[in-house]
Amino acid sequence: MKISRNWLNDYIHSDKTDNDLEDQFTQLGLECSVSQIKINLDNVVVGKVIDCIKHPNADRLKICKVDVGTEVLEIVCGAPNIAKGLTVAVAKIGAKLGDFKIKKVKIRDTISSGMICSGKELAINEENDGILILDDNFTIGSSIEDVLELVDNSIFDFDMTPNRGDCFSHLGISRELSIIENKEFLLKKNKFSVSSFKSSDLINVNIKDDSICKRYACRIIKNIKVTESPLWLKNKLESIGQNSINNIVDIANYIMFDLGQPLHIFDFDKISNKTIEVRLSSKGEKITCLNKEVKVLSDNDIVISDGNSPIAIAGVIGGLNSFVNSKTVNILVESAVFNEINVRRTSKLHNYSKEASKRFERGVDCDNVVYSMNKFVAMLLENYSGETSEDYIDIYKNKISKSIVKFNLDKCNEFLGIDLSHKEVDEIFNKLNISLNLKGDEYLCDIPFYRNDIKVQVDLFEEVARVYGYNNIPSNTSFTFPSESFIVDSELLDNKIRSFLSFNSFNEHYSNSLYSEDDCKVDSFYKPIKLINPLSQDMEYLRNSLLPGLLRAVSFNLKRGTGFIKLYELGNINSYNSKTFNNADQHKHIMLTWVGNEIKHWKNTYIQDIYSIKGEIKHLFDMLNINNFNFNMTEQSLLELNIDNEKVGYLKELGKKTIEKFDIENSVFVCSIDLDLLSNYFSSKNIDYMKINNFPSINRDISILINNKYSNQDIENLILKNGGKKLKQLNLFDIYKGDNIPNDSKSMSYSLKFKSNSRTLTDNEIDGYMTEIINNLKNKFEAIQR
Amino acid sequence: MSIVDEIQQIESQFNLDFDLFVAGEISSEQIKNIYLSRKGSISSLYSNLSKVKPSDKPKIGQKINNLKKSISNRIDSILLITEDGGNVINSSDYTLPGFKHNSGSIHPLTLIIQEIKEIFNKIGFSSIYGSEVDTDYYNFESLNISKYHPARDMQDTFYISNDILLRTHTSSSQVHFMENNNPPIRILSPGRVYRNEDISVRSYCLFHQIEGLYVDKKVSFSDLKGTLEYFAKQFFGPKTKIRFRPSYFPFTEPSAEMDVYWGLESESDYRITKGTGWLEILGCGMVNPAVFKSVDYDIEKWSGYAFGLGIERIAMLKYGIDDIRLLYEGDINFLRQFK
Repeated sequence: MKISRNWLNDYIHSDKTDNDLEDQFTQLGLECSVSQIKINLDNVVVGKVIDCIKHPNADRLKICKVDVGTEVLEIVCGAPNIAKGLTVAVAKIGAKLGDFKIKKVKIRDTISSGMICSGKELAINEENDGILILDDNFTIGSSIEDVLELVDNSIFDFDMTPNRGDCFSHLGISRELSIIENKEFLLKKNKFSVSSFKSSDLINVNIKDDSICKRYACRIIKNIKVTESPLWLKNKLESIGQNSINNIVDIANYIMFDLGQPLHIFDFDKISNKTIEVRLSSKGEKITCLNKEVKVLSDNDIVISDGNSPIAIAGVIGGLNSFVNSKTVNILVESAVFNEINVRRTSKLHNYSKEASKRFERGVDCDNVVYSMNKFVAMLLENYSGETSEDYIDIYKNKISKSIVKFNLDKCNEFLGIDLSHKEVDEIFNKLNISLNLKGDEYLCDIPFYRNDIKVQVDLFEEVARVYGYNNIPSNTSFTFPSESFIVDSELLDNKIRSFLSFNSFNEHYSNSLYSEDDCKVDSFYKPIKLINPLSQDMEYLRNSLLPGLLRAVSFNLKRGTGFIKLYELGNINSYNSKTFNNADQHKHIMLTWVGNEIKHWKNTYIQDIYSIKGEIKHLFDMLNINNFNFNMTEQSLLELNIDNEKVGYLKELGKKTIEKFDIENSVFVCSIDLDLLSNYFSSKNIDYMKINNFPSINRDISILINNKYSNQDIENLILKNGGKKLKQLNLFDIYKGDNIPNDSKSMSYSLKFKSNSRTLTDNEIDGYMTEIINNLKNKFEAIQR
Repeated sequence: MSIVDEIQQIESQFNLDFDLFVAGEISSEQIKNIYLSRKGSISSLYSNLSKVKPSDKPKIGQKINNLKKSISNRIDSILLITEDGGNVINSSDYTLPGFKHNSGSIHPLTLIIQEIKEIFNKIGFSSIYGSEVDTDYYNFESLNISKYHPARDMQDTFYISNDILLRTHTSSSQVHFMENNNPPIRILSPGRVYRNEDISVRSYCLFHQIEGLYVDKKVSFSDLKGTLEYFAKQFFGPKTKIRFRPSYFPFTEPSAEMDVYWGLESESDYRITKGTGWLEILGCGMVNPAVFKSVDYDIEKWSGYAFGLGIERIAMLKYGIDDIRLLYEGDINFLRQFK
């Protein structure tokens, strides 16, 4: 919201610099940034276009002869709205517009001795589509600064928090400035003369429901003339970024920016039935708004109706049927307070967030309704002809009384960690226009009407804190830790895994967790959750797997020429579940991907394949100190990751169909682990120490010829089953196929290590196990010992 | 010939061949082929092992193992490289590159979260984790943000149904936690949150936050300031200057924003601090009694403070990342830099 410093001077004057004020407003909780407008329009004067012909060498340019009083200048101009007879602003040779200095220039072989300016070039408004057209009454040759009454100004742009509806006006900001300056100011009385007719004779106002309209005031003004606004008003509105429309609308807008009360002006003659009715719309009711859009209303919009059909959506936008135009003679000015929630709902629903609704949504001051209306009347009558009624209508059934909030100084001091005296707190409340009554050890505080955000005691603590200054409150830097508030961090496991992976060449990735429908089908184990208001179709679902996000990143890197990729993501995925409080199950997963076959090296080229990958995963589980981990092949090219026979994840090479979706040609291995399941087996303290003993181990090797249909897993399971408890290690150290081996067979060599913790093993007992193993291999797998 | 003799014979043959190998007359491949390959002498010794009577097997097996080890060690003890022609040259060029795997990395957002957790952990804060899908009640209503509160404009929300949404802030975990635990409370809640905002250089449809919540007897605004001052000095350095500005969040009262002094030394300092030198780092405040009422805490007995930090913002500042989208793209050349 823009606030003009010159405008603030109407209420209160400050000697502080702009930057000081910017800082002090910010310290009070009104974040703002200031920009200065310096008027420097020497050599820019009023001129009259006495001739305007097309440039012979350019379609869009015109050559103008412009009378600037002392001489007639020839100027080339490209503005579409330039024409003979116009009064314009001319920057003569030597004028400076910002950093741009006007010189004599040759444009397409014609010498141009100056420039005809647009509003933007003069920095007085944002108009840049054409030149600024001036009032024909201006004296030719006079300075633009003088005729346009331009003065230096500073504009504060506030980023207002939603609780401070009271600050959405120059009056509101002046109140805050009075805290900074520690000076009071009073509102001027509205003075105007009235005519003998009565508004109450001419219009019947009917509020259907007090809850939608807390207060409604209106007044009729007759015989007005709709014209252009005077310069000072235009300038004031333009300084805060508002375009001028006509005198009536401009004054109403002025009041809103000045006092914070949005007004609406009806063409009184267009209100049929001479009735104003404030009611909720009925569903399907239509209104053509003044911007010519037709809105279909819900059953929750507040409308102003003439008894039959709506003539305005209250607090949001006026209707075309009752709008003020150049033919308007009699008007009705409405100053009202509508229900915040309804206005908010309406402006959201119909997508109107205008200056007026913004103020109603945050709550306008009920106490200021009549003053604002009458200031409008006073301004209109002071500047233009017109007659107003001797009375006005003011419907305010449930008069709001000032709210009284209790305040306990000791509590305030304890809560903020300060030590204010009664005198100091009196001063603070005085600055805030809060009056105090001491009752026992508590104050009863009278809150001004406009501070609708102060409702309970902590709200007053905040007021005390911000006026006292947040930065004046000391910082307590000694800390206490009650032991009962400690909780074990469930991310310990995650971070252990992350650290392991970073040591093993993995890069951690975070992906966008909003997926398209197709993405959700890539790994459809979990049912995805759909959004009702997605940003786009590409992001309609919350992710149900980490896979698509990773594959997108893999594809991205392959396209940029990185061929060897080890990438993982650790994060939450969600699945739909109607039985939980949020219809969702959140699972924490990690997924790892491997792409690329080798890293070349002069001595030992590193080969990446399923076996190196299995080794890395086994290594990870070893590092997590998780025992009883093993791979279990349940189908071709898919290994389950099992702990104590519970599946916690899988490892596989992705199929062509999957990777093609992501435009990937290389083979991709992925490993997925459910961290919620894994965490059941992980404890940061699960180191199971065993006393070291020196009983020797016995090592045996075994080499068998076996049919290809038996997998290593089959053989290992059999050996482990028959090797007894003393078999501590089993290691495949050779596979051989080829010469001397039948085509359907392979030679497999294992080393076995037997060890006991309590005694020395004898060869005999180990021979027993070995015989058992060999016999079983022979009987069950037709293996031949080599 | 007994197997023991065989072992001895092979050993002495190797001694001869080894001299030739050192002299460069036979290649490492050749010598390995003769002794260590599948069809080599050692291999045949192993296959003959089956003929030995069982009681001798361990002893003889051990002998073969020892021989194998000694042969391969002796070959490896000579540093050799093979040049184009397969000639062996004796070499000890220590300047040849060693083998190293690519370096891995940890995502910058993880690094920031870990660092912040560690700082608060030292003063007694534990971490808890909430759900990304939550209800309107936990995300808004219980935090004093009613359905038509203008503060909802500050947060454009993704909805799953009328009542279920993607959380817009980690503050949603406050009420969940307080419903199940009694004070004293010192928790952090890091996590992913979502906002229905177009993706651009500066904003993304999701980001990460860390929420802090502290509830105890007689907690004051001064305690809040001290805690966050400690954090700022730990994170940004001991000389860090901070300031607090009044702000507004429905779930805290008074509310504040904390700025750190970033300086105005470069053009980018001007840009990121909007010419003030100060940079907004986090939002905080004293827990609004309305929130305590949602969880039936006695507001006469307990008070507390809460704060929330945006991780992306801090990561971008700390590392000088100028496009938020880089954080979610997965470019390895980007990721690799964070360790």
